Amino acid sequence: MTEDKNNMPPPSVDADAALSVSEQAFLAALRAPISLDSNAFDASVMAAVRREPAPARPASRRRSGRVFGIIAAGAALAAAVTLFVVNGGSRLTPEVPATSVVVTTVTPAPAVRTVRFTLVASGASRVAVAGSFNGWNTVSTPLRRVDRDTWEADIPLGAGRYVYQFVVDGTRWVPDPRAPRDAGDDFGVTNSVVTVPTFGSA
Amino acid sequence: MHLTPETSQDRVWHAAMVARVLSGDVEAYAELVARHRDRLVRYAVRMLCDADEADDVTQETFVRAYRSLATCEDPSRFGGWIFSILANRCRTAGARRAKREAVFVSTEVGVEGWADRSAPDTDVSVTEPSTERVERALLALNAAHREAFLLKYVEDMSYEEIAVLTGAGVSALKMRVSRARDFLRAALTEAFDD
Repeated sequence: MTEDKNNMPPPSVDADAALSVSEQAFLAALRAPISLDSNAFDASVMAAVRREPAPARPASRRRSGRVFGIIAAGAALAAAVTLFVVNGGSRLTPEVPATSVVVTTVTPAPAVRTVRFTLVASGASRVAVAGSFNGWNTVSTPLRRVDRDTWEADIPLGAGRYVYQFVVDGTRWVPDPRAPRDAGDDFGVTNSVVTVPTFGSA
Repeated sequence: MHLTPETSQDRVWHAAMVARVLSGDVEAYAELVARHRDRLVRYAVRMLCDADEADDVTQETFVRAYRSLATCEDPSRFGGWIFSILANRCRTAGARRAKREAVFVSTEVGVEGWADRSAPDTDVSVTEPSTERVERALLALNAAHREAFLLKYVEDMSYEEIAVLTGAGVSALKMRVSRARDFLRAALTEAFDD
């Protein structure tokens, strides 16, 4: 328990201690249903959904192979590559500065680019990346192991701004210390940001 | 991640509904909305302590989930997937509000006494706190502590599930829950004394 930084006294209640009757009464109030006009809510959601294009199937990962450009860290796409080391399997510290992002064209949709996410995590048994581009799914976008400690994933992304984190061994979220941080998120979780420029602007 | 014990029937139903939506049946999404609306709204209301903002965030979550539906790795567990989107949206909304208002309520209350004054476990006469008192107590909590407490005790998630959802370690989460319970005991002491 390393979270307290303000010399606070230790809590008097163990997290797993049995709930008192008064706490149970409080929880009963919290669990009570919320008064809601469900018809209006559903109608509003569905009206917005009907205005959306049909959900896109995952973009093809087949590429033409044409390397569109390599952009150094610090440029628009610097967020997409991070190097980490897992120390003893429990603590992650940055080791080597970010190096590059590889952007390639994707056929047949030239507006889509492939962004390579790379993570060095010694001791990791699996790594994924979760972000706004995949609905924060922690398993749908795994990185492949390319050597003993290095993991990579090539993700087709359209132009836009995305936030993301790596997920190591299914439970440990790892933001990118080399990447810009999401200015809107200081809620104890720090997402990294990658911006994919419009086609032809890189 | 699961939020409630899922039966195989639940999983089959969710997989079928997601498949219908992905095949072009937009109206099938209404059934998913109806199925999950109440629980998602409740979490957002408890987390944000603002019914209007919670309504907006939950609606936005459903729309975002629709857009990203094809990326749902396991459609049979649509409920856990969309909950993770909502939790993230609540964090972002909470952070933006904190910056906008730059106000944080820190209630100075005595910690001692509540446990002693609480009724014994066999006493069922404890008065359920009012909605206003519940919201006041929740608002006074640090946002990260509130999140951990709600996920653990209202959503009945394990610490391991919460760790996946929030990115925090299990030991840190237990500390947050302990702090939350400490704080709530004190705050509720005042509420019951009002």
